[in-house]
Amino acid sequence: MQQDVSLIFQIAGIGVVVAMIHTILKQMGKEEYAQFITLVGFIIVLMMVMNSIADLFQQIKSVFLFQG
Amino acid sequence: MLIVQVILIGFVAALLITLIKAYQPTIALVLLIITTCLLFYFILAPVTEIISLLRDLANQYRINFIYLDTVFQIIGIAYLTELGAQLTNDAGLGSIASKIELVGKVLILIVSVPVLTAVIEAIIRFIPQ
Repeated sequence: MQQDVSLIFQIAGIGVVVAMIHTILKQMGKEEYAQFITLVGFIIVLMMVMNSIADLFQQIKSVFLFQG
Repeated sequence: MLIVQVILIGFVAALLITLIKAYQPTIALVLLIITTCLLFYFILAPVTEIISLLRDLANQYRINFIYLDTVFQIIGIAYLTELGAQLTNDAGLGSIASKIELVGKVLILIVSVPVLTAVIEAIIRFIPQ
């Protein structure tokens, strides 16, 4: 549970850093790199969340629906 | 206390989501999803205990397990439907949320068909020929 709470801060930190990089790249006039950075940040965060969601659904299935 | 923990997690997550949302709406949405999952974890542990308690009671008084399993399946479907509908609603897609709820209702109806047929058979048996 402790690790899960730190996941929220991790994702928020990634969001802040990605937003910062995005702004800097935009100021430098590299629009396409900025979009790419946003996409990469989103994919990284999604990968982190995927495990947690899969775990939650597995647990719900084992608690309520019994056939695993 | 558990409730304080839950409230603080919700509060911190709300703060972070409002911070991120202006710059990165997609990451804010992912943050929302992970917060929802985390908070649903908190319900899962007590519910597991309650379900095991109910199963023990049913075992003790020899209630037919099919009906109890149906009830638990219905609760599970309702729980998952609620989770999905709220997430899509928070993402600003109310129409998809209402569709998820509709599908959940139909699935609950399908799961509860054996109980329904049992009830109807019992009623028919009471009626004199």
